[in-house]
Amino acid sequence: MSVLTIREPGKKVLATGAEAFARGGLEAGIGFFATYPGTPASGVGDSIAEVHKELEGLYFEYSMNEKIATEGAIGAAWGGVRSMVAMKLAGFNVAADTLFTVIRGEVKGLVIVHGSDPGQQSSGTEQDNRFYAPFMHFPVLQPSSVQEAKDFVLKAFELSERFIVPCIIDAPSALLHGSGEVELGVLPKTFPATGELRPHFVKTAHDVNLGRPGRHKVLLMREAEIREYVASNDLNRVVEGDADWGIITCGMAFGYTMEALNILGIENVPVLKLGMVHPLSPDSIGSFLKGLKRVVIVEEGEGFLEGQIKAMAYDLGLNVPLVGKEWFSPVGMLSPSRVAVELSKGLGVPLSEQFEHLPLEFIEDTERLAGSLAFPSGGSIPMPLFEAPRRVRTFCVGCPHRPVAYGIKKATKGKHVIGTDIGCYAMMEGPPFHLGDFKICMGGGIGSAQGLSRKVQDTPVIAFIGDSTLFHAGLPSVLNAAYYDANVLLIVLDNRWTAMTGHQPTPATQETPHGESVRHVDIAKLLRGLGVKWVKEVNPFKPDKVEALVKQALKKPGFKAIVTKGECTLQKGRRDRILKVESEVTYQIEAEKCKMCDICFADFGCPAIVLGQGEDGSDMYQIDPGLCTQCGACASVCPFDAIVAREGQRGK
Amino acid sequence: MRHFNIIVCGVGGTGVIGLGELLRKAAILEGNRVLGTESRGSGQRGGPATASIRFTTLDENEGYNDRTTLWAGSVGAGGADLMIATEAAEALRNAHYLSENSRVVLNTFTIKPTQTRQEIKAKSLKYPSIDKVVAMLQQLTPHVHVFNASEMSMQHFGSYRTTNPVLVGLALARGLLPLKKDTVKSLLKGVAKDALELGFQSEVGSESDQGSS
Ligand SMILES: Cc1ncc(C[n+]2csc(CCOP(=O)(O)OP(=O)(O)O)c2C)c(N)n1
Ligand code: SF4
Ligand code: SF4
Repeated sequence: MSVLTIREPGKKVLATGAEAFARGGLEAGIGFFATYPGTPASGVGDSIAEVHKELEGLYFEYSMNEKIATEGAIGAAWGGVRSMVAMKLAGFNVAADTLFTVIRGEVKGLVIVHGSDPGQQSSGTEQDNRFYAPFMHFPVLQPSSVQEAKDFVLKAFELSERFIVPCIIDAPSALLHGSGEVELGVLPKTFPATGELRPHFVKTAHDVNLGRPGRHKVLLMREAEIREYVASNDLNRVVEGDADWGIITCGMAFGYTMEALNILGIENVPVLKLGMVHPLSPDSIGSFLKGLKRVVIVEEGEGFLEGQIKAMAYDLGLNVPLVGKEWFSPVGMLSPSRVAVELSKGLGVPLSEQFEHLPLEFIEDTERLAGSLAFPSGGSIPMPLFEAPRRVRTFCVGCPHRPVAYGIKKATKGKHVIGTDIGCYAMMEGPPFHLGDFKICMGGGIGSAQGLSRKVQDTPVIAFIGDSTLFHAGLPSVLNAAYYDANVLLIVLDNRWTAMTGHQPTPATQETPHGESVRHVDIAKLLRGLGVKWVKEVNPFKPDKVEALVKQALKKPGFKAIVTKGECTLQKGRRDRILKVESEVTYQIEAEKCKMCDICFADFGCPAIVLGQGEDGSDMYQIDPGLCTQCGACASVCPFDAIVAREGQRGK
Repeated sequence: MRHFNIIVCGVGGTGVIGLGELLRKAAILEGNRVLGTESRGSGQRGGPATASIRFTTLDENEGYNDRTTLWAGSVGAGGADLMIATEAAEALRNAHYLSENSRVVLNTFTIKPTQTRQEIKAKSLKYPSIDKVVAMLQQLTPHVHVFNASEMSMQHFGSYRTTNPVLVGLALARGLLPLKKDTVKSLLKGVAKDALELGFQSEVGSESDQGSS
């Protein structure tokens, strides 16, 4: 049973941070929840999606993008219900236009869970979005544990309603993906299906039209009120100690600091834990700083607290030495080990024996210490103590993107410029295909390919986009490219799911994992409707057909599109297991025909094709029946027809 | 207050995340305070995957305290009491979690990375033998337990899918995992229950043994 629907107040359960945020929203009695998936924040929406049918009155959607999710939530809040959104850091940029603009009006009862990603485990940047707060004038909370993840949602709604501003909760991947104990509160019986149109709605429309600087004044006044409020609230707290130096910290860094102090055997240092990192209260900060000989600021990301606290100390006339990013580089995530090592270096205290056997360079590279659980994408993996074989992320066994890549590569023979985009298909940039010359943000591939095609005429310009990415940010670009007839070949990799972020549905989804059909959008028709004159569909599991079609398309001038239509194997496999569908064929490599040319293994690279041993003990390529999903793509890759389909169930 | 730290490592697709969840649930059912985390986002597709399980058992009448309790989901360097490697070479990648007190449960299953044409030609892929993996781990800790759980799973249940319950059964029977078999079993369904029993009853392997049966 999902922790979201347990009705036993006081019970302690194990939950992920993502689930705790969702549970917090439900305990707060939200009437509207919208999200667009993005690691690390996806779990918040996914856990609600799983159960929302049981939650009477709650409206839930996977919106097309973060801007739409936010606008939806603003509308619902004006409709008189508490509303919540969740998104990853990059999504906040997409929603930023709306958020900057709406503060000219009045919104209350809106909480945004913002997934940050120090260490860049699943993001293109480490961007510290807390810096939006000082000029958006929103309060920002940073919980330190899974329990606080839930509790802070309720506090955020109180703040949002009391001060009539949206409230942001910042949650890094370590919190969202982490698990811990949560004591459950009361779940409402039903959720508000309807609300009363709030007066702010009218006022907002009025103010947006006028755009008066008067609003700016109001926002600053409210910020001042929040500063006063937080000084008297329990969002911030002090772990008492009688040392002559202190630590100020927030979010996950609080727990890391407490563990680090324990590792170092330091028991008496006072620690100020800030639950609200914007706006800060000079009263609480000042009274902590007073009398201390030195204060260390431990935070993930840039020196957001550090800059503000240094400015406050100056204004308060306090001459206490403050150190932050000088010790804790903004690069990468923190961890107890990393905080312990940096504190030991900075304070000149010995490091505990826990680290004794580790090589010195390992200890010194504290980012590696922190990143023990963080494997940044693209294969740059923290160096281990002993060398382990390099592993490059690749497509799943039987993924539809692999044969498409193989077909495109054969068609262009490397002569192309490819603007790729965000999603599983972006792994075509890696070996063995190397397809992808630039990648910006969602929708950026097709966007930039158009401009490029105006100035580069002797090399074919190709743009990739996935179905979810097309719906998120691709459609205006496609319209632009079609309208101005840019000489670009668009390849839409329609695998029917937002696969990369954990298989959320898209408008191209045709069937649920349980086999129910769902209404869906025909992408080829959509493209034609946008004015793309040449649109062809192809089965991705036929690389020879993909190759032929790409060759044909590249001969056509102007804007044209190919849609590869084949479901993500993982989702298809899930459904087949649930419905107990078994393949009637198996694929095998016939030893007599195989010439060990390496094509299927190295150039195509399905991980189910393995180097085994023939009967005489010599090297031989084989298909591992335990791994193969019977997609059949490799059969047409072999120039000697050595890969064949055999009737009969697979032998496992 | 006693803390126990487990690191599960393997390759995406070998059930690392699921195993982490199972052990965390078992630990909380036995009344411990539990924390953990896992690598997400890349593990699914052949990349390295890890999950951590940390739990605290309180002595009678003992309370929690900000300064001595666990906060982070991740295990620190040298901080693993137990490592479970579902894929052999991944134990090496995560060796920095080990200290001389750590116990290692090593599955002999191997997944060789895909290779490029150049790598095949240059024979540059160095995938260590199980003996070598064990020897390297033994430089850090004498407590390396080697099992062929994938093979056992394939032999008895016709699939690798039940490997991890077999591995957990093997670890439980040897006292490497401070949890009760019945707790773990209550969280499993169908054939996974049988797989746990298979591992639990099995007499294969012993400390630093090659466990080749
Ligand atoms: C603005 C923004 N929001 C969300 C994400 C997270 N994200 C990464 S890939 C992806 C979409 C992948 O779906 P699709 O385009 O269908 O490709 P697939 O992974 O299915 O191949 C998303 C939403 C992001 N990178 N940027
Ligand atoms: S999750 Fe789906 S789309 Fe992504 S690599 Fe795997 S099979 Fe391909
Ligand atoms: S049929 Fe070939 S390409 Fe498809 S999953 Fe099996 S081995 Fe891989």
